[in-house]
Amino acid sequence: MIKIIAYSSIGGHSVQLLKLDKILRKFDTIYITSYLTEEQKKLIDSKRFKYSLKDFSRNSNLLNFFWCLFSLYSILKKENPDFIITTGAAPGVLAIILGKLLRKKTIWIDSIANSEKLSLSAKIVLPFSNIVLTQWEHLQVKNKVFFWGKII
Amino acid sequence: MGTSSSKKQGIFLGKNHIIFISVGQQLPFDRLLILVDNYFKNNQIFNVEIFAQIGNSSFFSPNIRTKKYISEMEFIEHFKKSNLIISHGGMGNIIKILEDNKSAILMPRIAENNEHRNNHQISTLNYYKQDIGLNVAFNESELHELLDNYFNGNLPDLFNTNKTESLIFKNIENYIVNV
Repeated sequence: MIKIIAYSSIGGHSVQLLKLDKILRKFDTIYITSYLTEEQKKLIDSKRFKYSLKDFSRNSNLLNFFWCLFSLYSILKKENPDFIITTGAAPGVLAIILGKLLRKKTIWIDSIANSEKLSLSAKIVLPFSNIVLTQWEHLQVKNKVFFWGKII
Repeated sequence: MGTSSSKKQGIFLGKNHIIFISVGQQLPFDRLLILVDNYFKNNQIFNVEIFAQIGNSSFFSPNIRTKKYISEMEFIEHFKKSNLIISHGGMGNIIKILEDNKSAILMPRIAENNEHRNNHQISTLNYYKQDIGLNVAFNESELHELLDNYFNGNLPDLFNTNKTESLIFKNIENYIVNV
């Protein structure tokens, strides 16, 4: 049975990732999310998300970044998935890069919110991820960034 | 439903209007709350119940019941029972509004106001406004005009209802199985 780790930050990223559930539940899929505040953490559905991480973004401090890196690495080593699929945000970048180092297959799905250009995160993961998807046809780049449709 | 002058005198609408304002999980959006609040200060409308999820904010108004964060279940409960959704331009909310075909008014966050890291909500809402007729306000007068439309019973409907399922689902499944 193919095992998948599916990561998304709380909010619009999760809404998009969870719409893929009808496909992902055909495999052994584990969902991970991340939260910004302790209040948000309490509201996470633990039946849906097996793990939740403290989020970080480009505005966060280095401690948050390393904690997230360490947490993701531990999860990937423990769960040993075949695939890592993420709709972002920033921790998804780490998940893809760690995935590449651990020889997993990876898929980055750029948020449908990025309608005018690819996100910074997508550009960072381009050299690492097996597949980088945009949800806007005009943003596809031959052999690099693919358009497979919109989630919504 | 009544002219705007009778609205300002205070007209009994004969119906409970339940309004849900959502600013999303990441950042506060006080400007939206203040502009909505201004509308209800300027217009005496009875029988309206307003609840707002306000994020990390200390916004207060006697017209609006607020909570900083709500669970997914609470969100769904407010969302389903509301007659009107007022929302920031977050994709999570846009998706739910489209899925349930809810009456909604949306306003994008602006980076220059420190409401977001970048201006992608402006691009996103512009796209959906043009492509499917989402009701979008870029400033106070547009917001108030849309609210007038709502209370007059003529908030425009969406105009593009393309129901064919996206190929992304099959494409991802095929990739996972075949690679």
